[in-house]
Amino acid sequence: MTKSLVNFFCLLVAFLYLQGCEKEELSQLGTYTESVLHSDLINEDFKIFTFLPSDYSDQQTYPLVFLMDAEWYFEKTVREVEEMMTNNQISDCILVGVGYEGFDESQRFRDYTYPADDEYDISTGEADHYHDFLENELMPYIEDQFSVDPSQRILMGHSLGGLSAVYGLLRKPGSPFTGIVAISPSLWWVEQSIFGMEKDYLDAGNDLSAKLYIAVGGDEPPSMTILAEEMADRLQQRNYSNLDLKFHSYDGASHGQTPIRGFSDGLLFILN
Amino acid sequence: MNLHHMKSTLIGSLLLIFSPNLNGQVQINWAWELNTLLDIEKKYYGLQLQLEKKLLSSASGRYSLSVGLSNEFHIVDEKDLEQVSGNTIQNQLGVILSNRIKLFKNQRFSLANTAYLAWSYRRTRANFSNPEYQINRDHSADRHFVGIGCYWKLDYALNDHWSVQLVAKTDLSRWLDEYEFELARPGLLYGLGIRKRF
Repeated sequence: MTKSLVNFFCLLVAFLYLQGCEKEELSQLGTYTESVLHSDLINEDFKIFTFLPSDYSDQQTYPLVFLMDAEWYFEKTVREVEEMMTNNQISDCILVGVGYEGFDESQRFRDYTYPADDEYDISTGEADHYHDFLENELMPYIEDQFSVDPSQRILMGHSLGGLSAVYGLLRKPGSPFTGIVAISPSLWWVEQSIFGMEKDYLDAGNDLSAKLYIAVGGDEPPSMTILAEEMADRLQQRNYSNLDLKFHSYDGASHGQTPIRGFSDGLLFILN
Repeated sequence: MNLHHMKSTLIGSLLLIFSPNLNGQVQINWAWELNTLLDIEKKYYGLQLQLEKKLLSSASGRYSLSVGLSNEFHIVDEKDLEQVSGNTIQNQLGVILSNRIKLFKNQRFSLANTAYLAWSYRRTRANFSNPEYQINRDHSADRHFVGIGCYWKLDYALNDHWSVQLVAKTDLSRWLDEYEFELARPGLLYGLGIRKRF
C-alpha cells in the first residue's frame, strides 16, 4: 500500500513537472496568458487563452485571431503561428483561444450550432448568442487590453467550430470578422440548413466582404467533403464582390488530421 | 470521433455461405450478407457479396492466410452526427490472417471462435443530395484500411454435406477508423448461414 502511494506520488510529481515545462515553453515563445471571462449573455464562464508575439508593442496594431475549441487546439496552433511569424510568412498577430472554464463537450454543441436539433438530448442551436458574446463581450474584453487592428479580425474553427465560423460570416450583414478559417466544417448540421441561410443572405441583396479559407480532409466522410466543396463552389459562383475565397482538400487526411494544418494554411492565406 | 457518435446499434444479418473444399487446403467461400440496422434513429440497409480464397492453412486449419474480395452496397439515411444520406458502394480487396479455435465439437454441433487481422484497400463511391438546396454531388475515396475483429460460429450439421450456422461477429476495424464506421457496421453482427461442404 505504502509502495503504491509512493509510486503514485512520484508519477504525480513527474506529471506536474512535465505540465509545468510545457507551459513554460509556451510562454517562452511570446506572452501567454489565461483568464476567465463571464458572459452575461450566455451565463457561462469562458476560459480565454491569449498569445502575443514576443516583440509585441502598444505602438502598433495587430490582427486579432480567435480560435474556437481552444482546449484542444490552442497550444499546437500557437507553435505553428509563432513559427510562421518568426519566418515572416504571416504578419504578427494576437491569438485568442476561446474555451470553457469547466469544459464539457456539450457546450460546443450548444454554442457552435444553429438551428437547434431536437434529436439531441443536450442543448443545441445557440450560435446566435455565442456570436453575440464574441462580438459584444469578448472583443471589447480583448481590445481594451491589447492593441488591435479592428479591420483584421479573424475567426477560426474546426468541425462544429468550422460550422460556427461560416455561420458568423452569414448570420447578418457586416460581420465583425474580415477573415474566416473553416476547417472540416460540419455543414451537414440539421439538413444542411447553412445552405439555406446563405441563399437567404444572397436573396436579401447582401454582399460578403471577407477572406474565407475552407478546407477538408480527403479521407473524411462524404457529408464533410461534398458539402465543404459545395459551399466553396456555391460562394464562388455567387460573385460576391468582396469575397476572396480559397478551398483546399488535404489528400488522405482524416477529420482529426485537418485542424492544425488547416489553421496554419488559413492564416497563411489571410495574413500573408 | 467523440463518444456521442457511438450509439448502440443492433444489426440483423442473413449470411449465406457456400464453401467447396477443393483439396483440403485450398478453400473458396462465397458469402452473401444482408444487413438491416434496427435502430429507430437510423435507417441502414446493406448487401454484401464476399469472395475469399485461402492461400495458406495449417494442418489443423487453425491458422490461415486468405485473400478476399468483397462488394458492399449501402443505403444510408441516418439521423445522426456526421450523417450521410445516399448510397455507398465499397469494393474491397484484402489480406486476412485468422486464428480459429474450436471451442466445442460433437457429431453435429461445433462452436468455433475466429480472430482475424485484415488489411484491405477500399474504394468508396457515394452520392449526397438535398433537393431543397440543389445539392447533388458524388464523392469518391480510396483508402488503406486495417481491421481487427472476431466472430463466433455455431454450426449444426444436417448431414455430411449441409449444415446451418449461427454467426455473431464483431468488427473492430470500424472502430479503428475515425469516421467510416458510421457508414459501415458498428457493434455486433448476427448472422444466419447455410454451408455446403464438398
